[in-house]
Amino acid sequence: MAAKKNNKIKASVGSRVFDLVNLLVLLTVASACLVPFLFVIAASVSPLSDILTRKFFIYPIHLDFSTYKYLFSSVSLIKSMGVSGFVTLVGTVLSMVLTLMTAYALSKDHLKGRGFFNALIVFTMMFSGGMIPTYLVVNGLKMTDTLWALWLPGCISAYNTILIRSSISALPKELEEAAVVDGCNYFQSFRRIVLPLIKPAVATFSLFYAVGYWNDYFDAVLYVNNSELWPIQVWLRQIVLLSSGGFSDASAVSDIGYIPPQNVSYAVIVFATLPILLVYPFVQKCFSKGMMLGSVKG
Amino acid sequence: MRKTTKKGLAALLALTVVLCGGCASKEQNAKEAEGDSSVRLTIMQELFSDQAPDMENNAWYNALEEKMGIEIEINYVPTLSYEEKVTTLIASKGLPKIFSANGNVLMNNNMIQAMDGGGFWTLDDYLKDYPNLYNFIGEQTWENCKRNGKIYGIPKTRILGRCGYVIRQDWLDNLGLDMPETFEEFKEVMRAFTEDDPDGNGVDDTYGFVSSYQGPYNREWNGLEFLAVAMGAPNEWRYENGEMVPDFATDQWLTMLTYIKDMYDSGYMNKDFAEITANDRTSAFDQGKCGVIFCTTDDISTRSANLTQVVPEAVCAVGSALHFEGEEPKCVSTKGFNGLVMFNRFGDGAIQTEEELKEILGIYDSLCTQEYQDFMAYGVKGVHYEVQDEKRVMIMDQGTGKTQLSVDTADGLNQSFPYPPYFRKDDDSQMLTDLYDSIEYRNQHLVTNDSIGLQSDTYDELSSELDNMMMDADVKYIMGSIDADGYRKCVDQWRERGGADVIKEYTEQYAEYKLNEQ
Repeated sequence: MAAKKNNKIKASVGSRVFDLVNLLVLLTVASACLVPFLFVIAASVSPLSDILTRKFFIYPIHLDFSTYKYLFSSVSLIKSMGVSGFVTLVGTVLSMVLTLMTAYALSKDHLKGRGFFNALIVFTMMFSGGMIPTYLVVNGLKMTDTLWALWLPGCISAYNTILIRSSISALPKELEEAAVVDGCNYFQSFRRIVLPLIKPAVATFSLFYAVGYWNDYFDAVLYVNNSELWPIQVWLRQIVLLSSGGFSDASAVSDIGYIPPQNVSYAVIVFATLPILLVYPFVQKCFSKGMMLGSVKG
Repeated sequence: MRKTTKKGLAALLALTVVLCGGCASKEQNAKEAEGDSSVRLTIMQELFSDQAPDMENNAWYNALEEKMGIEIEINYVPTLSYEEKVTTLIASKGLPKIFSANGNVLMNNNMIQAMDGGGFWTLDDYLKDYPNLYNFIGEQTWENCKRNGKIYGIPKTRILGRCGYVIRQDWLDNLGLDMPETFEEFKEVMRAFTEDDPDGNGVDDTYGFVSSYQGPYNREWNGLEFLAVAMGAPNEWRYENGEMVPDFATDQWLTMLTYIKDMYDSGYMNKDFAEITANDRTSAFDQGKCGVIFCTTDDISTRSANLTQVVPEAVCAVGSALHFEGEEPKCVSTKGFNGLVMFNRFGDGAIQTEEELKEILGIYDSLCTQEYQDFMAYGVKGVHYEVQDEKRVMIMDQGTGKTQLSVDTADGLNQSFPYPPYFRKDDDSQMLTDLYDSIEYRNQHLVTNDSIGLQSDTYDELSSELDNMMMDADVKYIMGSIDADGYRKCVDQWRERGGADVIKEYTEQYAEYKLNEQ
């Protein structure tokens, strides 16, 4: 039994030192990103006095769940979480369906007026109507005070459309031609050939849209008068900024009867960020599946 | 296969149309429901709390509607986005009948255009028919809220004598000192707080007072104005010898700056006052590091609540009105109001006729009577308050720790209804009673700002630049970078930069609107 020969190429000392330094630098940067998160989570379960005197750093010294009890004491925050979830889910699906269909159509060279449509889309990226004209349009279409005002105005992002269009154009034409020869129409070849191949792109942009819908608060405040339909971001902003003294009108200091204590604002931050944070690991699986290029042989 | 995808698309399209249509019809239903003859108030106001009240099952609003025979619909908007929402609604003519306009909104260009263009009802001619409302607000406040001589809405009253300081009573007791009355005594107390270890822990970790000069409003609430006016300076502007004089151009202002500079040099105040924010200064006080914080006197409740979390045996007290030996105290007066309740005249949701306006003013007039004021303070018996030992005690909501009345009204009654600056309730704590007493004392010795209600276009344009110039000069003087001559040079620069125009414009306006009434 021959001794196992060490046929690994021994890394030179310099290369190993480089690896070590690399590792250390990356660990430092990663922990610098992680520490504020841990602080916020710890602060949300600490009593107010600990936060005011900064007694703890990363893990809480005393546990105090009164903040979460307060959050859940009224139904409104849970309802708004539900609204957020609903808006994000439906919005992402709607946006992705429309964006993908638009990008697919635009990627076809033989589309009549292709240059015109492309130019139009790029134009909207650079110029926007402004807040008031957009409001007038949304109002005129009777979308105010409904959830449609949160979905339709920003439904298709021009930037995402262009990127997806490019990635569809990058697919070899032979794939689709082969499909057409076998009798596919546009819908079928879109569904069966193109979509599976651009899965990483679909996953990425779904995540972008989802985060965009999840984070939106301004549209909700502007278009939706009914406070039952406000997503959690509106409340998050209200609580956090009020408790840290960010009053819009300094002379309004007198009007604020109740200022939320700081630990409640930390609890709301955790409450509002956790769902979207949890989505990410599930979506990440799709990123790693590479594109199956070269499937046309011969 | 083809058919199903086509069908699927068609179904999706149909669904979209139905949803859009369905949502539109909801609005029409709402409008049809109101057809009865009772007056319907549609109100829009800022939401300051973190929960919007449930308007359908709201004990307080339902009771009010029943009592007065009216219908109320309130739209809450988060305070931080209020200005944008109002300007958007002005542009799209979608304002409701009544809405609350805070200081920022009133300075907004769109709002000013709408006001000058007759978009809101002016109340000057109607007020004589509503004596309750007139007397409730008070003549001085009606005067203060005029714009170009006209009253554009009902001012939301606020405490006049609000400017002051909060002091650590337990530190005073520990060191055997009395509440300071004169400036010399105050300086002595600051020295003692810094050097004599008032918290008794043997460590030299305390100092006299904390201040922060970042931002324009901090001048009002951070001790500068308070001390200057107490020393005889004008409250921002004074009309003297036919001309408007700004406070920083007077000798008393320089005296005040020298006074603070003394304390800065001796270490009785925080060295980083020019960098820290208003929030940092409240944290410093809440952590027990200093003995005095200049602020609005009604802040004492929050300060006390936070401070006792960290230092359980701390006791806060409202600081006295400082004065020169043998002289009467002089106290800073706020405008007496913060924003207006305005009555909309344009767009679909507006008050269309004079009769409707008179009806609504009549409602506001009756809200000023004692019966309704009590109702606003205490709410419905059994739901919001109960009687214990002949005192009315507020009922608390279990989940949130606030009073049930607070939950039902989101602390927002003072935004759209006539509400006094403060209520004395039967079950007030000693601290609150002392606070109200000190406010009433201050209200006897007020110095008003002569520029309230006056317009200066130059100031509207250059306000941040002019204000910052003088704030910087104040900071530099206190820190010793410039001396008295240098400060006067800064005032001259202020005049050159546009201050002279501001003075001219205010003087003209004062002569036009205010001299006639003297």
